[in-house]
Amino acid sequence: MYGRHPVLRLLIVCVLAFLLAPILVVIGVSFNPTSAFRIPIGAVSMRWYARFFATPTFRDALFLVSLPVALAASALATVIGSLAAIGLVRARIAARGAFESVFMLPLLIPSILLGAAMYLVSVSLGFRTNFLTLVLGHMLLGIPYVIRVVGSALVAIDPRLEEAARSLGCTPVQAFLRVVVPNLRSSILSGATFAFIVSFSDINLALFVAGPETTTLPIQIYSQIFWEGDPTIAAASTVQIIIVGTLILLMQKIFKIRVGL
Amino acid sequence: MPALSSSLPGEAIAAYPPWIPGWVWLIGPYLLVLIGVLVLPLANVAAISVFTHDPRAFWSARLTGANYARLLDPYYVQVLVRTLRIGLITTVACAALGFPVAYWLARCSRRVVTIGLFLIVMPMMVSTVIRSFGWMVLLGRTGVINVASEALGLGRWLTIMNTEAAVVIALVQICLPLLVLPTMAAIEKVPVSLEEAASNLGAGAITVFRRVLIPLAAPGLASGALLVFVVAISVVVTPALMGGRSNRMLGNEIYDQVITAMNWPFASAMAIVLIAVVLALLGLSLAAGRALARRSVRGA
Amino acid sequence: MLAQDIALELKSVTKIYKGSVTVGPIDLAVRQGEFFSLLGPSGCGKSTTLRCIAGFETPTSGSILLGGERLDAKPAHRRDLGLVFQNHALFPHLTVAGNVGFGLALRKVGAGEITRRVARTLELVGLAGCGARMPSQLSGGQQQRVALARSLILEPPLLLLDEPLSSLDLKLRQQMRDELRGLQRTLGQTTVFVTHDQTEALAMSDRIAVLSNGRIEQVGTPREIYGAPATRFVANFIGESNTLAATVEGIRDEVATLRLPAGQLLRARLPAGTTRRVGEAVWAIVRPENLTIQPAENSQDDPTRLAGTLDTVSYLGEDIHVRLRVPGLDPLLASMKATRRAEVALAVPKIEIGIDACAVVVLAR
Repeated sequence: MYGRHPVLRLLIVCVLAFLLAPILVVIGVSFNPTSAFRIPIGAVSMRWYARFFATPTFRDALFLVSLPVALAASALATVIGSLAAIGLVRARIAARGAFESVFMLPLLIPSILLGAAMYLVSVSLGFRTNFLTLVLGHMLLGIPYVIRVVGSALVAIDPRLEEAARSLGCTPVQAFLRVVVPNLRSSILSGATFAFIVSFSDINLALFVAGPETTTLPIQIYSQIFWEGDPTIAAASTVQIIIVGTLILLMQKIFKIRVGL
Repeated sequence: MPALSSSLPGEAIAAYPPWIPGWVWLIGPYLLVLIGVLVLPLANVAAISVFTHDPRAFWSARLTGANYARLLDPYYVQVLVRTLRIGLITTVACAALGFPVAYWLARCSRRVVTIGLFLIVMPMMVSTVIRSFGWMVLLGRTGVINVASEALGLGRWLTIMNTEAAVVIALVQICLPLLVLPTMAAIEKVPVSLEEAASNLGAGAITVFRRVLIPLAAPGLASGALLVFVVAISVVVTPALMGGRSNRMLGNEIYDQVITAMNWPFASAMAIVLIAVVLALLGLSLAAGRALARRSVRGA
Repeated sequence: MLAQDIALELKSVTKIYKGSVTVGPIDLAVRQGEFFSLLGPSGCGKSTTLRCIAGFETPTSGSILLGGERLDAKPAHRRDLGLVFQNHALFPHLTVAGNVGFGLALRKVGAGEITRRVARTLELVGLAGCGARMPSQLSGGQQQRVALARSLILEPPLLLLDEPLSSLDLKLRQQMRDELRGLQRTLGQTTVFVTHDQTEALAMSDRIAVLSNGRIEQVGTPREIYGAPATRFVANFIGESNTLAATVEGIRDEVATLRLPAGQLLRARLPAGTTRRVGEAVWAIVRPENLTIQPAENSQDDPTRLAGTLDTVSYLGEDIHVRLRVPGLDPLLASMKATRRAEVALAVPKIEIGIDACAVVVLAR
């Protein structure tokens, strides 16, 4: 009932401004014509974007590492996560609650620890961290999101739809495949998108697991900040922001999913 | 995080025929992933943490408590205390800023909630390194704020970079959505009529929040706060960029020991301490949740 | 009832949940072409019974036969029964035609044949030309018709309806009631209908089984159920009734004289073949519309007329409902048409109540 209270509204505007400030600043800087980290007044320039796409380290980090890793991790996370969600909701398993908590562990265990642990194992086993370790790690981070989105959609599907299908002659498995799965489609796609974004934005795990040949875009940005690079960093960041923002819009508009945790 | 199964109609599930004979096939792959990528590597870390550091082979299998003992060194105690302090301040700040936002999102129209959620979730999903970079550009000595201030003739007064405050500011921005989303879900379950009833009984806005909304949304608020704290105490990039050399957190020490110093046993000991803090809090919140559920059952 | 007339038969079907009997034993026989209702309050076991027939619950014991064949041995998808749910349960990802043709497609019927039969069935339920729409674009009544068409297209030997009308609003419900009944008659479709709404059951059914606490209280035509309730539960659940504790004072020519606790007498005609003993404790059940009210002044000392006073009078337009106080009894309910005569009778506070002996049902106490 206080949703329209003026004090609340003012507070909301301030908090949203605070949340968006660093992102808007980065976007602004990426259009600055000079190499200073300033928001351009008047003239804007696309030169840092040109530089971004012309610099092999940046370009490769995006096209040869971040995107392929995110695609692979998301595909794996979607398959494994969707199966797990179906099992969690539908199978007759003892201690469903315990399984559910365990399934959410990757959200709660700090990802730097997962990264460090994976790094120690892979080096101990004698192989340097590579594309595969990165994909495995990001897949692990993405699965809980898929389970959450697919699981809650599955819970919301009326069990009577399946009963209706069975009364019309479907076997239980047919009823699931013909009636439930088609209605889960947009949730599964959303889960996949979430998993993609989680992988695409991750830095904590990649910090440990990414090797010299597998520098993801966030890692590349991070190291350039230390090298005190030019606003190409901002252009790279903006490319990341645009991809993430577009994917979230896609989930909202096309899959009609309420984005959230 | 609201539990999945709480929204399951229990009867409908109980009525489900056990037609999935091989449920193993459904949750089996994920269990394998959890064991292979999470449990075993962490167990390996736990094992290394009690082994002896050996510069030539990372570690040698001689049991020792030295790695944990080294954490009692005043420097590391200071790092640990700083980490927990920053985590706590961040959590409290996120709760204070996030609760009103969660309330607003829970109570606004469907159209506005779509926009609102986009504005909350989009920043959450942008890489933390980019957001920390944004804060550097904003708050730096030659950053956007100081430059604008100088242009207005007010001078470069902002000297917050490389302080703990700068780390906290960036962390609050990074963690805020993690608190808002579960809290919003909890407030949505509180009917507006309860607020109206309280107000009808003479409660002002502050009282309604303090006595009705916050207690009823406590489970969501608590799980959000837990997420925030866990994320805040395990960051590496943000203190490295915002805090300079003098505001290092546990995550930075772990990173340096793993990658630079290659003292794996010591890094592992620090990792185990961090994970112990997380698991203790998780256990605490589960116990609190159970106590809360018992109380509400008895109250009903 | 000839054996070949029987479509569905339930033989002592029970369903036990965790050690306590919740439903049964239930014995039922539904005739070919009959509209048969299972009526009862929520939790009485009517839905469980339906789900046992449909195959979504397995009876703990007993057997279910359809056309003389064991039905309970088959899984739900092999029973070929029509089923319509309260919430319609239309597949949201399929068009109306996709929903209606779902069962035919499963049975590998050719596409042309499906299109033809879908069109015919949609016409039958009054939705000709709506095949391309999505379920979400239809009104509640239209969704209901699609759900019905989806089942009827397979020409099931038995149609099960699980409270199909209760999600609709009152006006639409009455309209759908008539349509559904008309359709059922035209097709001669054997139908089992589950409802908690007595008006619905009375208006639509050939026969009704009234259930309470997992058991059948009475099976009969709507007239029998209303006019001659077999148990106190049926009398109170179907319509309103006054239930009076009484003892049998004497029996002569199939008319029993009952004595009420405060000494008043009541005559009741016993149906042929009932045996009541003098001195037996019984319940006398009278419908409110069978009480007649007169001003008290013209009373002779007729012991079968109850003297009383008016408590409350509710004017409901067509009818008047009256609460009466009679010494020694719980308040009585009477109802009458709102005529001039009734208003005159109700103008005086002291009244006499007459009860037609033919309208009193006597049940063992």
